[in-house]
Amino acid sequence: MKWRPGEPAPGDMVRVQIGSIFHYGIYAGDDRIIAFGLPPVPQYADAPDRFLVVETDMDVFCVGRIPEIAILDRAERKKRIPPDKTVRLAKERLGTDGYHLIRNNCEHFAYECVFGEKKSEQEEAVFRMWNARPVLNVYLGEADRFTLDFPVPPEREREINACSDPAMRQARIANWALLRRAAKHCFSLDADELRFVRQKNGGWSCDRFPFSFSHADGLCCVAVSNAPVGVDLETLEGFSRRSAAEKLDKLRKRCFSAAEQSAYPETVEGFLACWTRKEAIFKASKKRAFFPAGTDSLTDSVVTFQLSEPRAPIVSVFGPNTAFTRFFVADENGIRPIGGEPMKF
Amino acid sequence: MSRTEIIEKLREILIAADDRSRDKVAACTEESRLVADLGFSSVSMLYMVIAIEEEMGIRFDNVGASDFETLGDVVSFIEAKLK
Repeated sequence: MKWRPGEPAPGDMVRVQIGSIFHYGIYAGDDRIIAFGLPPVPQYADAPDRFLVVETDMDVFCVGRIPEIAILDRAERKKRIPPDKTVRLAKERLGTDGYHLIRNNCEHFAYECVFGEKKSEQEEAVFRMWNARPVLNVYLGEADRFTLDFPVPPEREREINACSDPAMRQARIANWALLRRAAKHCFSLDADELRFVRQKNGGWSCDRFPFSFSHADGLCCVAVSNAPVGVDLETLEGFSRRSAAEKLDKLRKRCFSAAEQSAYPETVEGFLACWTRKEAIFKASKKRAFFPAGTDSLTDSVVTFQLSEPRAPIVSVFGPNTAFTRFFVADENGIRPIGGEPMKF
Repeated sequence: MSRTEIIEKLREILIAADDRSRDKVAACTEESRLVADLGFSSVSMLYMVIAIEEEMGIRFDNVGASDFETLGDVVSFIEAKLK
């Protein structure tokens, strides 16, 4: 479809440009035009029929702009409703309401009268943009609150069932259950729309979006994004219980570079920040083995937060979309956003 | 949600839509005009609408693009809907 200035014939789709948007209508003949709503200009701001299907003369529709006529290509001409029927359909809709800026606007109305189905190029463009927006959401939950309510790949289900450590088994179950909630919450995708493939490094990938799992001390998290992502979490209480101070010191010297040793404070928090950053980078890399000493955590592509809840974990996230990182807690009551303090180094 | 929090949320939404506008959006105020100051196109206007609907759970029924000249107009609309 192309648009050209000109004299419309009855049944033609007509538009005028007003500021940054277009206003569409159906030419009904005799200088009359039928449109869903009055043109979006201040002089009609308080008109009672502003968002109804209305018939006006061309001057009201054009508000001083030059009208353009839709020039249909061969396929569109074949598909279109005959012009006299188009005018009849438009007249039948006079006085109806239900206007919505994106989903049911003047373009949908005009398109429906000409082609019999609602369509809006402006709507399609904006949804393309919406779906391509940078996203990085991290969902956390207490592992013991989840059951395996997700169609996990059979191979993975066998592995989970074969897991002899009950805490590890529950953490794996919770991760996949969280993933189902994340897919729905972030991308409006149901479980049956997702396909999973085993990666060379033993991890799993999804055909619809990248994701990354982490768990520690009965706390689970999954990060989902529309770009590669890695996530790692640790809890202070769990790590302090497992690791004495001298062990931390040894690990620091063995696994952190000189620059890292001076950049992070010599506290458990400092250690965990560096460690989780390295893990998050590794997870996004899809490499087979983790060499902490060879992973540079001092990059801007990784962010670290101490979250307000649950149990104030330290979480690092790596990927191109970290500027858009948002955190949520999932439990039996649903999903809610939580805050966190970014840790700076 | 206060007007300041709504503006902050709008900034996030607008930067996510077009990272090149980061500086302009970071400096925007309630008086900033969507088209004249922030350079909104029809698509960016509608993007903002869908983002607000999805993120804040409100609907833009029976309003048109011309109802929103400034960012403050958008904030007032959201504030009224959230009440």
